[in-house]
Amino acid sequence: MILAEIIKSKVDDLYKTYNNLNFEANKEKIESLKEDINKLATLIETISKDIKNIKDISYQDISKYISINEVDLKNIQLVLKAKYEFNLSVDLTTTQLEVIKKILEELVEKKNILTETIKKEEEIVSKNKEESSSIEDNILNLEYLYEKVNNPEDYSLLNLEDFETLSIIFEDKDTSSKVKIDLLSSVIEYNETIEKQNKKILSTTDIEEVKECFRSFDFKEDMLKFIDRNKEEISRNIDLSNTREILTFLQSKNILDKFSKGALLAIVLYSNESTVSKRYEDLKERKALLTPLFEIPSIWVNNLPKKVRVRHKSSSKNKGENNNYNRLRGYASKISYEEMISNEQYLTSMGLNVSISDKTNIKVLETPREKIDENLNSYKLYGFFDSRDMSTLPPSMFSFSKVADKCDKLIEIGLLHNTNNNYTITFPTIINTMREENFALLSKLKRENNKDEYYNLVFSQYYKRNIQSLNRCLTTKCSKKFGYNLGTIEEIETFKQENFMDQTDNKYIPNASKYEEILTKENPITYQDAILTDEKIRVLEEQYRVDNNPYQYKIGNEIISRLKVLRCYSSLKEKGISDDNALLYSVTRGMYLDEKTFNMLKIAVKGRGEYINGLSNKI
Amino acid sequence: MDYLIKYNLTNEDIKDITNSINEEDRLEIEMNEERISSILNYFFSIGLTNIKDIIITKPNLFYDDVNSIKMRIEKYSNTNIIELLKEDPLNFDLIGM
Repeated sequence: MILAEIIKSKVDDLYKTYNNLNFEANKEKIESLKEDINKLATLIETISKDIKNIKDISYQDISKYISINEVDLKNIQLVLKAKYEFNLSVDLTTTQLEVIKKILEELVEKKNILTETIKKEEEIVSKNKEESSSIEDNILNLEYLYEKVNNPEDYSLLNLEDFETLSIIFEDKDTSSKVKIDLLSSVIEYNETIEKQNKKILSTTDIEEVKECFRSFDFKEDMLKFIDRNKEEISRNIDLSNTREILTFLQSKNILDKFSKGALLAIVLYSNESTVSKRYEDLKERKALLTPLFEIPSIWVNNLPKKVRVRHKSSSKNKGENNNYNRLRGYASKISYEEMISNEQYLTSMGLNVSISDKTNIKVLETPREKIDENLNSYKLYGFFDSRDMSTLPPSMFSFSKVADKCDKLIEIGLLHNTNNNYTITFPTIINTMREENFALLSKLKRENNKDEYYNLVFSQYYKRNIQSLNRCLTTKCSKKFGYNLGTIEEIETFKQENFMDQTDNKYIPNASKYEEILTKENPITYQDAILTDEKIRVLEEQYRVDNNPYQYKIGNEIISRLKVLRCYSSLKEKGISDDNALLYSVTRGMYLDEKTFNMLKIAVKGRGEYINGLSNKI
Repeated sequence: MDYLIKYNLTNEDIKDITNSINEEDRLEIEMNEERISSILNYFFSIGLTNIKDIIITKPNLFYDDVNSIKMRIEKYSNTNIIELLKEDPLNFDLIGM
């Protein structure tokens, strides 16, 4: 069997298994059992409350659940009716009382049995749900791989991720040995075939031929110079016949001259006439052939949805390859057109001013939705939307990276949610532009100066006119800042080594490097509410929480981002780590601390709130 | 990004810009000389000559069309926004840009 057939056969098997995982029947059974339990509970309560109530319960209602003698029940009911409805002087016999007691006991036992049954059914449902979710993932991965191996225009070799997908077949005990052997040989054959066909690997195209091709389409010197500047990537990746097909098509539609140089080159390298023409027809039908789209090459390239794109993007990075040789590839594969449209709708619905057609705030439109949502949640958590209407915010802030971590640092240097200053809410771009060395510098200045002195340093003279403008040396690259040399990487490293300790070093906090590895991988954006009941956190909340400020702890003179502590400690605790060192790391993470301040925080955190606050005229 | 020289930027300035912005932003500026030039020409025309600071602080602006930028700035023409943008490009945040 060839590779594609083996993959397809496995996909078909998985679909059969998936469809047989019918846990709807279990769910219905659970609902029915719950109903029975409710009825039993009612019966038990009715009879327990007053045994005379048994006179009004039908034999059918009880015999549905337990076995009872109908005559015995009728006799009991006669006696009770005579006594309580006709006021006759009669009483139940000892035997009859025993029967009622037995009925109650058996009803209770039946209820318990049904409760156990529900538990077992729920376990089956949960197990089947897990299995079905795993099968869905396997089907998706195999289908993507099937598309790849079946695509005659895909010249990429099978990579590590593809082999991980194929392991679904290898590791399945129900796959016959013959199929496994066929799979191995078809994988080798597939890669050998691709290598033979792959012009990108085996040969390069003379750049003069490329320029001649573009000249024949009336491109002038500026385009030829552009080609020269990118000649390494172009000569390795271009297929001149594919290029001529694309340029001919675009020329026939009179749109060839509308494309920007970079966009056009990216398209001829990484797209094909079929994709380009389909996109053209699609845009024409939607009446969306807008000028801005001629500058976004990823719209004209067959970019798969993000999940697959992330999987295959890593395969295009060969070890040791200079990133400059893949610039046009990166430019061509930023985002799919469908994702951009989806982002536009999503962000517009939130009141943000974005538009593909007007080419407004394109950067955020080209940002993957996952990142936009992560940032939205971070800004919500850090109170940006409490202080300012979303429609007034610069949309670009939803494209920033490491938003939560940066907000923590801005809180800790007094530029966000500080009683005296909320600069970041007004100027959220600082999240993206504040250089890392400035966080170090401002941490030091904050400790060395009182509040007024500190803010007079941080803000320029315009601060006095109530127009907050950061000191220029904090927003531009200055070699000297407040007497410190911070121009080169070496000077910055020297400054950090001379002034701060490194809390990721295990000698200061045991296992700190492990905690950092976990937190970097998990990247917690929020925290579990249950963390607030943790004993260690409760102490912090009681001793160091700042009144009316949900964003700060204040330990001594240090402002600590409360959300940072909760996010990090909650994430570590989920991994089973909740000792004092984990808490100390959560408190100190990302901060620039001298040894004195670190030791103060250590005493406070490990000593369970024993630290006494220091001088009062510092921030 | 050598074309930025015509906007009174030195090679050192261009090196600073290259080192200060991320790869995506660099690519956008390198690949779209005509559009970026039209934006910079507009900034010069309204007195914003702090080009290096604007590129480093607000690289997102250079993904957009000059007419879109013009429209958003001109909306505030009856304020002192140009003066504020000359002082500090972070003031683009005040007008949601």
